[in-house]
Amino acid sequence: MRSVKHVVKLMEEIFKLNKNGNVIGYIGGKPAEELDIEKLCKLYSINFELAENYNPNADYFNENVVFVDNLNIQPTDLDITFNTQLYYYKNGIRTGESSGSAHTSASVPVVLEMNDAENVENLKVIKIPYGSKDDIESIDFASGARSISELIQSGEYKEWLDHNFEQSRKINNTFIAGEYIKLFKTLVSYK
Amino acid sequence: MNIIKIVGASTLKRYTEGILEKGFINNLWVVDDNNPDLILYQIHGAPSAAIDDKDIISKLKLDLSQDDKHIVILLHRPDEIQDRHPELSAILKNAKNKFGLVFFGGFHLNDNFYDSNKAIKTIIPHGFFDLEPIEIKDQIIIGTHTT
Repeated sequence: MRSVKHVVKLMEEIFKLNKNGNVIGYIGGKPAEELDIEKLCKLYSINFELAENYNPNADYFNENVVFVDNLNIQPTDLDITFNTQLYYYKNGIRTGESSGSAHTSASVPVVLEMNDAENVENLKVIKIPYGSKDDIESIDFASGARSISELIQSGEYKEWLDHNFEQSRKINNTFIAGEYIKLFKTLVSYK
Repeated sequence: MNIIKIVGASTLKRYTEGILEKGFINNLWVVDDNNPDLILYQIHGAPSAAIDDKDIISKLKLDLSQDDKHIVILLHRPDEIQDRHPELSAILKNAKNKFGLVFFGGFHLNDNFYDSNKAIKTIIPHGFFDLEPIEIKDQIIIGTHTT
């Protein structure tokens, strides 16, 4: 599971470091009642402004805005640059997530732990440090935000996006099925 | 031409169709439930898949007790699977023949729950859906969509 709270906390730190309005937060895929901007602001003592209708050509300069999709429909022209995958399970850092949604766009995943998948697939990822796997409250959002901001300021994130896209081309469905076929051949050899 | 039967909860439909079925077809296998050379069982572990997973584990138990099947089991969420389906551990340990046990990553590779002297454990990545490169714009978007 992913928590709205964690995404909000991370955004809050990122907005502190990027005040020129070029960063937009996005939260979707949760029930509408969890995505009410007024409730979010009260709950987390934040001052986010809502862009109700995302427009890729709009100027959000100085708005420090968060885009929340109450209908849970991701606009077709909205490409997530940094895809937050902050999983939890039973108040701890999750260790066994499939990380499926990291594989639906060529973005830069932002992870706490991705079951080593980030190593297997050689993705460029932002790893947010945490104190203890058993303590979901120990996530160091400020440190994670600094890492993301450095990538943005340097422009290096563009290379990361290219790298991750190229990697996605290699680790495609044909390659994956080929790995299962190798395993099948091993099983046959035991008969 | 080889035949594969792919089993999985309805919550895995997108993954089954977009990665597994497409991939096997690209490797010139046939996806069919009849007379398969290989059965690929997926256990999801998500709360929304609990009922389907139970049913799938029952079928898996039967197939693992038979001689003539080549079986691979893909564990999507190994941590949740062992919480929700503790019976799976004994089923794996009592398998009659060698079977494949696939993890997306290495975290649970040496987990006692999944120990079995018949298991050939391996890591196969999740794999990517067919993607388009992200268009670089002035605005950076940070966030998440799915739960």
